Amino acid sequence: MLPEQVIERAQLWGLVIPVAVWEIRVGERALVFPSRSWVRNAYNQISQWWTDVRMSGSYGDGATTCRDIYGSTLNARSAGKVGAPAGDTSYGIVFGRGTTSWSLDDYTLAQKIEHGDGPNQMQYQGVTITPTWNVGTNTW
Amino acid sequence: MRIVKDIDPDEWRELIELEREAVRHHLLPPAVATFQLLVGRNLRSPRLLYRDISRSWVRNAYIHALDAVIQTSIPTQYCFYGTGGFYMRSIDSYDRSPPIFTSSEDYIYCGSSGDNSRGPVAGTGTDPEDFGSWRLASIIPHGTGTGQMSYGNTSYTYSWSTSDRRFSAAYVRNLLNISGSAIGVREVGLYMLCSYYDSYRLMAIRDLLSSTITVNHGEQLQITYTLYGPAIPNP
Repeated sequence: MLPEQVIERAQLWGLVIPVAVWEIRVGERALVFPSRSWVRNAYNQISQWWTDVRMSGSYGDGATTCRDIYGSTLNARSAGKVGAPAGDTSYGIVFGRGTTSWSLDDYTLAQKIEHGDGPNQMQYQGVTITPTWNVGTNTW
Repeated sequence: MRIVKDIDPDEWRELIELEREAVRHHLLPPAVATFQLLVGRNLRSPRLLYRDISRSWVRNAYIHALDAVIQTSIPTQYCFYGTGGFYMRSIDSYDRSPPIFTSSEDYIYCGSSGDNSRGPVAGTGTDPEDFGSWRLASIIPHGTGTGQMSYGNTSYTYSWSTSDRRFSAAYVRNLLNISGSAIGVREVGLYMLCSYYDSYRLMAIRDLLSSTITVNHGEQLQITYTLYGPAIPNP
């Protein structure tokens, strides 16, 4: 079954699957991809928000424990926030140069590009969020 | 014990297969829920059982979960409750703007004894299920008078399924009918807390029963809502 078919069938059940798409624009070029790489932190947070479940234990299967980008663990239902201001690479959209493959337990980019104007650095602007309602697909 | 309705195993299997497909594509599957009703004087040997898949998460639940992910200010054109709106509507009929601020110390689906604004609730209304509904059509009030039931404390059990690879939470509540006459239950739902300030109470789920469940004087109705988190891919 194709991802689009899974989403359509879920809608028939009255269930909505969150979908992420990422897009990169460099000059005149635009690259758009579906994101299929949610990691354990996202699953655990969604579980906690929908069901309010909380299970203690080490980060991994069977515990709702999350790992932050510094490697510390926490087990709490947290409100997400992605609207990072300029220069802040601790949340929001970030870029990297790492090439390690996706892992469920990824909690930080393999090699994040830091904010700045030095070698291998880039100037991070603020993240803007524009909620948009699509009348045709009935989705945000 | 008479089984009034039970979960169709084919439907449940189809739902689980759909979830597995979603996991295979690394999509975030949605939360699913089931509910169960037991009726009897002694709930260890109940007189009736009614069990089904809940298909009626309502708009409030989706906005609540979406807001938890993106936490942003809402453009003016979306500041309303309804299709295309980003507001939630609380059970006291006020439209509420995200962001929501429940603390992780709050157990949002757990109502204490006598509090029917939070946790599993029951009603006598027969309105069709509707994605936009924001409270039961006709909630059974707490009490011992005519048409009332005594709402007990909500208990909860959390678990992780190694085979299904997902978390679940079961919320259980007993409602005692000592009103002096039988009460016909036609709808059940799950209300949740949605604010630090303890003022926002929202309906997350409403299920219309396919037939009336009669709770006689002296009997208890036990409502169990089991909420399943998304299945998690293998590492």
